[in-house]
Order: sequence, then structure tokens, then C-alpha cells
Amino acid sequence: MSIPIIDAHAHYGKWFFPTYANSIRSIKNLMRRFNMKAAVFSSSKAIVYNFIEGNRELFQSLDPSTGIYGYVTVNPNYLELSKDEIKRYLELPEFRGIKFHTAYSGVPIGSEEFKYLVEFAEPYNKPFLIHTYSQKDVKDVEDLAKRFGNVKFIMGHMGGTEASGTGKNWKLAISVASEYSNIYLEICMTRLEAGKIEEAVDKAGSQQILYGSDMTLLNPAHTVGMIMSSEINREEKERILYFNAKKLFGI
Amino acid sequence: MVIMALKIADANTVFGFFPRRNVDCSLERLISLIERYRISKVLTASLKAAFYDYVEGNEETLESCSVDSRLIPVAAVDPRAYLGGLEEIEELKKRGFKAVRLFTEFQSYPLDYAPLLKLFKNLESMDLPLLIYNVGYGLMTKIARETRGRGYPVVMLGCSYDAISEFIVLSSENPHLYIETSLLDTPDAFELLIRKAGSTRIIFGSGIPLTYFESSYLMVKKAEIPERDKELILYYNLENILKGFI
Repeated sequence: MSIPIIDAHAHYGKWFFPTYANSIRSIKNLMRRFNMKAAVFSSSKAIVYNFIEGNRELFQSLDPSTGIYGYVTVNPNYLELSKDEIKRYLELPEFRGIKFHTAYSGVPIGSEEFKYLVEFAEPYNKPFLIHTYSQKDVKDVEDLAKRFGNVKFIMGHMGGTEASGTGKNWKLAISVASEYSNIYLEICMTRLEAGKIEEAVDKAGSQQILYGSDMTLLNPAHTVGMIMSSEINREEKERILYFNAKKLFGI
Repeated sequence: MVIMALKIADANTVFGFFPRRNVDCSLERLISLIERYRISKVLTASLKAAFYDYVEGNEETLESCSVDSRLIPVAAVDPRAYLGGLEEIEELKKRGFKAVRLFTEFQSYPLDYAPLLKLFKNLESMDLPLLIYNVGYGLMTKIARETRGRGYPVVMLGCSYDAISEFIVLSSENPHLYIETSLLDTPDAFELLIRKAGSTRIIFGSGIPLTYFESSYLMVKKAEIPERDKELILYYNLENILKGFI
């Protein structure tokens, strides 16, 4: 593929599914195969288990010279420790943002605890990647974007999908992103419903859409294929795959 | 657009009208995608059979497939309306359907459900592959148990990262079980499945026009597996379980 890629949603670490392409060597192999110039990783261990251990292991593996950047993961169940993690890592050039996964922590995006952490991290001027997989998640991000106008929020999975196939989650995410210039839509998910990218470009604009793979849980081919198949022009594809992330993360 | 160098047969396509969001699923759209990606054969079923009336939907499928040899007709059976008649299933085969599909992704019924169990039994002598959409942990295990030794292949559609271990464990004792590729989205799914279950058990499917074709195709194309295995997955395994496309 000729268009270079920056991956705004990648993971480092193991998963509780049979996927083994999780070493740095495997990650570099995936990046090479898909012409990825850079990717921003969060630690799977930090998301699903211990965020302090996970962030530490991730930090040890980051290497901006090969395009491997990181998100520091926070867990609002541990407010003071989360603040420590932000202070420890977020000023480092290796780290380009903050990751929060509401489902694994059990803390809603709209909680006072998470808002407290957003407020704390605001001066660092780095974006939040937030897992969104419901209409409530999307509405919560909208509230954050309204309250914290200077903070950039990436809706991971652009609201997600649900089994019925209505697309109502990602449709709402698109609608919300079209109202807020500090909200970005990140595209990865397992069920890639036709029309999603075209609608996002049409309503929110290609400048607010970011390519994400969800590797090493998911295969970059899945989402690269979606962009390739989507009926948008080359310039829009280039923005989504590369230029928007380059600008947002300062890579 | 990716240039399709390999021969492709797609086990998972539909056509008709999709009531749950505004997406073009017309027969014309399906055919335009077949042409755009140079797909040789597609198994296809009418969405009318999934959402409204499977008998009417099957008529539509037969009619549509009769005018384009790339379209292979798949009969849908809706267990909520199926009265269990053997002759009904025999008629499907006689009329030219090449496989039977359950739209479990759009229809809600348990597996332990008399019409469904009757269908599993009635398919015994038909030699028609059964396509079932995988929904949730454990469904594949139950399907394998209920269809074991009945003599027809079962293709599990829509299997993602959460179904890979279930398939691998089942595959050794259930040679009739196959896995379809549209959602096999872990970075090393194909490499692992070939190692553990063999390349002959993997069948390409995309889900078009409800999905993006290249999402499925690129996962096979970019897999670090031998070219011969890609050929099997993309075309020949489906041809084999159908005993040819004619």
C-alpha cells in the first residue's frame, strides 16, 4: 500500500485470546507490512489489570526512532496513583496521550473521578484516547468536550457497534464529532459496517477521523481494508491514515 | 483498490433490503461489488428471508441467481416459522439451492429449540452445507455437538477473536466444522488456524454488501502463510464442500 499510516490506537502486551503477535518484533513486522510510519500504543496489561506495571513495561519498550510511541493509561479507581502516572510519563517525548478504558475499569466516562483526571492532565496538552462502545459513552465524551474545550478527545471505536447492525452508536459519534472540533473519531472495531467511513467524512469531515488498528488484538489489515474499500477520495484517505494523526500527536 | 490476483469465492453475501440502517444492499450493488473485486462466485441469500418471510425470500434468491452464474443460491430457513417438514428441505435441494443458512445474527432463538433440532436432523441426507452465524461463547460448541456425524459440513460465519480457541478445540473432533473469515481479525489468526486446524478448514467470506470487502480480503492477502493456503481459503475450500460450483 502506497499511503503511509500512523496508527492512533495500538496496544502492547498480551490478550486473553489466542493471539501471539505481541512482541516488539511482531509489532515492527506488522508496522512494516502495512507501511506504518508510527503508532501510539497503550499497554494491554495497564488496561485490563495493573496500570502501573503496564505503563512501566510499555515505557521500557517505546522507541520514537522507530515510530513506537505511547499512551499513559489511567485508572480512575486510583486517583492519586493515576496522577502520579501522568506526572511520571506525560512530559516525556515518548508519550503522546492518555488512555482510558471505561469497561475494564468499571468507571463511567462521565464520572467525577475521570473528570478530575482530565482536569489534572489538561495542562499537558496531549489528547485522550477513550474507549467508546455505547451511546452513553459517546454522550459522556460530548459532555467532556463541552466542559474541557482545550482538551482533545479521541473516541476509540467511534462509539462502537452493536449486534443489531443499526449503527446507532457510531452514527451518534459522527453527529457529536460534527459539533465539536476537539473530538476525533477513531475507526477500529470488529464489525465494520458499510457506509460508516463515508458518513463520517460527509458529516464530521475527514480532518477529524483517525486511523486506528487495535493491534495487537486486531489485524491492521481489517481496518486498512475498510479505508481502501471506502468510497472517499485519495486525499481524504491520506488524511485519515496519516496526516491527521501526524498533526494531532506532533509526530 | 487492491488488485485481486487470486481467484475468489465468497461464502458470505446477502442482497435485498436492510431495514436497520440506510445501506445499499440491492442485487445491483452486490453485483457491482462482485465486478469491482473480480469475485468468481458468491454464495448469497435474500435479506427478505432473514427479516420477513423465508419462503418468499428463497424464491427471490432463486430468481436472482438464475440470471447470473456467479451467484450461488443459498436457502434460508427461519426456525421460528419452520414446521419441521423433511419434504420442505428436500424441495430446497431439488430446486437448486446449494447450501442452507441460518440468520442467527438477526433472529433470536435458542439452540435447544425443537424446529432447529429438527432442521439439523432433516439436513442429514441432503448433503447441503449449513451456514450459521456465530453469536457468543458456546454456540459453536453446541452446534458441533448437534450436527456431529450427520454428514454435512457446517460453516461458522462471523467468528472473531473470541471464537478462535473454541474453533481450534472443536476442529479436531469435528471434521465437518469450518470457519469463515470475515471477522477473523487477530493479527495472526490465519497463521494460528492453519497450524492448529489446517488450511482446508478455513473458508473465505466477506459479508458484502453490509461490510467493506477489502477488510476481509486483505486479512487473507497479507497473512504470512503459503500462497497455496491462500488459494484454498479464498476459493477451493468452498468449491470442495459444495462439490463444485456447477
